[in-house]
Amino acid sequence: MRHIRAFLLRLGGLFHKERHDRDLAEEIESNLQLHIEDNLRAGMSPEDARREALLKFGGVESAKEAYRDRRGLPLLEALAQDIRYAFRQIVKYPGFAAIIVLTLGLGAGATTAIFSVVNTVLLRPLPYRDPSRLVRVTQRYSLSLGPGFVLGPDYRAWRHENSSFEEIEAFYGPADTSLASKGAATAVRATSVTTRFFSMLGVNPILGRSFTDAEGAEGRNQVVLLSEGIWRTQFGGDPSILGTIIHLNGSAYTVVGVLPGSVRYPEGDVWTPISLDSPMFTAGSRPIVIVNVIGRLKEGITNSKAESDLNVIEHRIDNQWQQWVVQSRDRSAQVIALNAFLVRNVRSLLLILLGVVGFVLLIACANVSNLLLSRATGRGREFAIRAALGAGRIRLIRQSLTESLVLASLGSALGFLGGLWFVGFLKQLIPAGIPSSVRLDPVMFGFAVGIAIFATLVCGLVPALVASRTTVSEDLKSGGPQTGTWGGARLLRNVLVIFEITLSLILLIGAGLLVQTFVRLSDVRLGFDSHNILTAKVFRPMTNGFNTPSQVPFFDQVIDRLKTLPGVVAAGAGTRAPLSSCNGGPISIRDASGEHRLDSVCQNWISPDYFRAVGVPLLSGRFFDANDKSTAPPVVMINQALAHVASGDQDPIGHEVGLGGLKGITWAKIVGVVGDVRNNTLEQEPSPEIYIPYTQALLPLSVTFVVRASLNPLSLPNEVRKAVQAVDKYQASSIQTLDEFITASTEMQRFRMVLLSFFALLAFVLAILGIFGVMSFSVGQRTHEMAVRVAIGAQRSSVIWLVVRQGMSVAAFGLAGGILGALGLTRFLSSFLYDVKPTDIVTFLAAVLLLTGASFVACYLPARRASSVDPVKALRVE
Amino acid sequence: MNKKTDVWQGTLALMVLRTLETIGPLHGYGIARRIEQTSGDALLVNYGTLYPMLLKLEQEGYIASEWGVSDNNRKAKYYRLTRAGQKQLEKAARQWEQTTEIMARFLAPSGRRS
Repeated sequence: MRHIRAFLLRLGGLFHKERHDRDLAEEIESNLQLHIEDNLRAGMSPEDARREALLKFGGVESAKEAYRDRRGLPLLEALAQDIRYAFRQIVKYPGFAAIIVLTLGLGAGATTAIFSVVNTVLLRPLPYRDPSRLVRVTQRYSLSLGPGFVLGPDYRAWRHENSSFEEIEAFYGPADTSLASKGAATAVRATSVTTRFFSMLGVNPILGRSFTDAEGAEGRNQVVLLSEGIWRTQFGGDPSILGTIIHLNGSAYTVVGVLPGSVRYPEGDVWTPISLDSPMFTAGSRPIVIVNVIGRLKEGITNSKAESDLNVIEHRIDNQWQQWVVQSRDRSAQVIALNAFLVRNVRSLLLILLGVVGFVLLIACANVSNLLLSRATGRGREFAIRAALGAGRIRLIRQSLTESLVLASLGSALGFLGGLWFVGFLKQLIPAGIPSSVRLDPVMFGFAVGIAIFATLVCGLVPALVASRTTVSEDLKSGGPQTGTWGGARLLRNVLVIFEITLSLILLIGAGLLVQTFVRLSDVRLGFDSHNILTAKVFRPMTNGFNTPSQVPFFDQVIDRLKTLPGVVAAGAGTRAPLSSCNGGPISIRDASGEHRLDSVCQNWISPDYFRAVGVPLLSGRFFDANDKSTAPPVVMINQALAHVASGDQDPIGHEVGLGGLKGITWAKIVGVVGDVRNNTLEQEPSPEIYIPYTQALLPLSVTFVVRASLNPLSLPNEVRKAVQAVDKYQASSIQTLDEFITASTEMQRFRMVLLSFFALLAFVLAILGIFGVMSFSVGQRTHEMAVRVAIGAQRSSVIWLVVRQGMSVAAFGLAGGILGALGLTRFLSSFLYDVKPTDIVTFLAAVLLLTGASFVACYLPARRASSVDPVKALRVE
Repeated sequence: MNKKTDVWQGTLALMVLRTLETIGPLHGYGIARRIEQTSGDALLVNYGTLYPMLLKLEQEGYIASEWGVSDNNRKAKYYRLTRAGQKQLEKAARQWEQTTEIMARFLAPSGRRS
C-alpha cells in the first residue's frame, strides 16, 4: 500500500515541476539561513558563518538533483524524453517513418483480421451446449443426392434403435416459402426440425417456448417458431405475437415462440416441427423425405463406433424391405464432428489465406528490419557524438529501442484500425451455418503486434549495440556517414532481401494462378445464351396436400400468363433452373445390346417450352409437346453428355430409360437429344442429364419458371410475381436474372482472386521497396568508391553494371528460392483452380519476369544516380 | 544504488522518525543537527541524502510537512510524525533492536557463547 501510494505521488511529481523546484529551493535556502544564524550565534564572523554553512551543506545542485530523482520517476522521465526525441525524428524523416508505420500496420492488420476469422470459424467451439459431442450424420451415397442427406425412414429407425447417441435430431430445408400474415405475403426460408432439435443444441427461445413432443405428431404440428430477425422486421418485435395464426404456403400455423438471432444453424427464418409418424418416414412408402441429421454422441462413443451401430440398423431395414431404393452397401452411415462439417468448404481457403498473410507479415517485418538497419548504420556518427557527450551505453541502447518502439506502436495502431475494417470485409468468407460473429480478436492482434514489435526491437537493438561499442574518437575522426558500419549488417540485409523476394514470388505465382482461373471461368461456355433470362422459383411443400394432379394446372396456368406479358419471347418451367444444382439418381438404359445402370444422372422435370425459353438447341429427335400428357406413353429427352455416356456413337433416339418410381421402374422412350448446360458450379463439366415432361411426374414438384424476354428484363419481376399470385395468392416467388446468378456464382472465385492478388501485390511492393532501399543505401555508401573508379577512367555504364550485377545476384537467389517454394506450395491451391495446372509454366514465367524486371529497376535507379555524381564533388565531401 | 546506501538509508529513516518523535515538529536543518548531536558528532548528515529521504517518508505517509515560522522568526518547512509514522517507528525500532541483539551475540567474545 505504502509503495503504491508513494508511486502514485511520484507519478504526480512528474507534473508541476517548477512549483516543486521553487519549494525545494526555498526550503534549502531557509535551512541554510538557519545554519548561518546558528553559526553567528556561535560567534563566527558573517563570512565564516556563511562559508561553513555552505561547506557543511555540500553540493546544493547535487542535493537538488537527488531530490528530483526521488520526487519523480527518473526512468519514466527518460522514457518521455526518448519518446519526444523519437517523434522529432519522425517529423524530421517523415517518409522513412511513414513507410515503416504503413508496412507494420498492413502486416499486423491483415494478419490479425485473417487470424480472427480463422479463430472464429475453425478454432472456436460452436456456441452450443457441450459442442464437442455434436456430430453430423450423413450417408455415403453411390448416387448424388447431394452431400449430407439421410433417407427419412433410415433416420427414424436410427432414432429408435441406436445405442450410441444421447439424442439424434433432424431437419430439412430451408425452403423458400411464402409467409402470409394480415394479407401480405413475403418470401421466407422455412426449415422443419424435429421437436427436440433446439433443446439438444441448448438453444432457448427468447419469447414463448420451443416445440413440445406432442407437436411432433401428424395433425398437431401446425405450430411455428419465428427467428428474431423475422419477428422484428415482419411483426415489429410485438411480444403479443404468441398464439397468432400465420400462413405458410397457405396453411395456418400458430406462433409459439421466437428464437434468438444467434441461431444460424440450421438456417431459416421460421421453423416448423417434423412429424415423424408421417408416411414419408416409413420404409417402403413413397414418397419419402430426405433429412439432415445431427446427434449428440454418448460419452466415450467414437465416431466409427456410432457408424457401425447405425449401419447394423440399415442392414436390418434392407432385410425387411427387399425393394428398398438403395441397398445399404450404397448408403453407409458417416459420422463427423459438426464443427468440421460446417467449415468443410472454407477450411482450406482459410488456411491458405493464413499462410499468405503470414508471408506478408514476415515480408513486412523483414522490410522494416532492413530499413531500420540501413538507417541506424548511417547514424553511427550521431551515436558517437552522443557517447562523447556522456551518454552511457545502456542509455544509448535504450534510446534506440524507444525509437523503434514508437514506430512499432504507431504501426500497431494503424494495424488495429485496418484490421477492424478488414474483418468486416472478410465476413463474406464465413459459411452461412457458422453460428458466431467475427470480431477482431485482441489476443491475435497482440500476437501479430508482438511479432512486429519483436522484429523492430531486434533490428533497433543490433545497430544500437554495434554503435555503442565503437570508440568515440575513431568514429568522430573518420566522420563519414559510413562509420559505425557493421560487417554483418550487409549480410543480414542481403539475406532479408532474398527472403522477401522468395516469399513475394510465391505469392505472385499463387495470385497469377487464381487470376487465370477467374479469367477462364468468366468465359466458360454455358451452353446457352444467358442474357435477358429471368427465373422465378416457387415452392410447394411436399407435405401440404399439394399433390401431383393439382400441380400441373397450376404450372400451366402460370406459364400461359407469363407468355402474354409484354416483351416475353418464351416461357417455360423446370424443376432445375439452368445453372442450378443437380438432383440426381440412378437410372437404367435399355437398348438393343441390353440393359445397363448409370449411378448418378441429373433429373429435370420440365414444361414443353422449357428449352425454347432457356435457349438450349435440339440436336436430334423432337421437343416435348402438348401430347406428352400423363396418360400418354412415357417419354424423356437426354443431353449430349448422357447420350455420349449411354450410347457412344449410336443414335440414342428410341432407346429406353428406366426410372425408379412409386410402382417400381417405369420405362420411357428417348425422343430427343439437346445440348449440354452447366451446373451451379461453373467450373464443373456439364453432367449427364435426363429431361422428363412434368405432366408425367409421379412426385409433387417445386419448379422454377424461366422467362426469356426480348429486352433486359428489368421491369419484368413485378409482372412475373403478379402472374404467379394471380393463380395462387399465397405463392411467393424468388426472382433472379440469370446474369445476376452467374455473377453470384463466380463471386467466391472473384473474392479469392481479389484477396490473394491484393496480398501478392502488397508483398511485391514491399519486396521491391526492400531491394530499392538496400540498393540505394549500399550505393550511397559506395559513392566515394565509384567516384574513384570514374576518376581513374571507368565508364559510367560499367560502374552502373557493377552495382546492378551485385543487386541482381542477390535477387537471383530470392527468385530461385521463390520458384522452388511455389513448386512445393501451389498444389495446395489446386482445388481452387479451373483449367490451369498448379505448376502452370506461363504463370511462373510471368511472375518471375515481373519480379526480375522490378528488381532490375530497383537496382538500376540508385546505381545511375550514384554514378552520375561528379567525381570531384564526391571526393571533396570526404 | 548499492547495498551500503540502502542500509544507511534504512537507518537514517529510523533516525529521522525517532528525532521527530522526541522533539516534535522540526525543519530539515534541525533534524540534521539533532541526529549529528545525538550520534555524538560521529555521523555527518549529507543534505543530498536527507532531502530525498524526507521526501520519501512524506510520499510514504510517515511524516507530513508544512511551512511554519522558526523561533527566530524565519520561515521554514516543518516536518512532523504522522500516526502511520508512529507505528512504523515502533515496528522499525523493534526490528532494529532484534537485529542489534542478534549481531551482538555474534560479535560477543567467544567465551560467552554457550
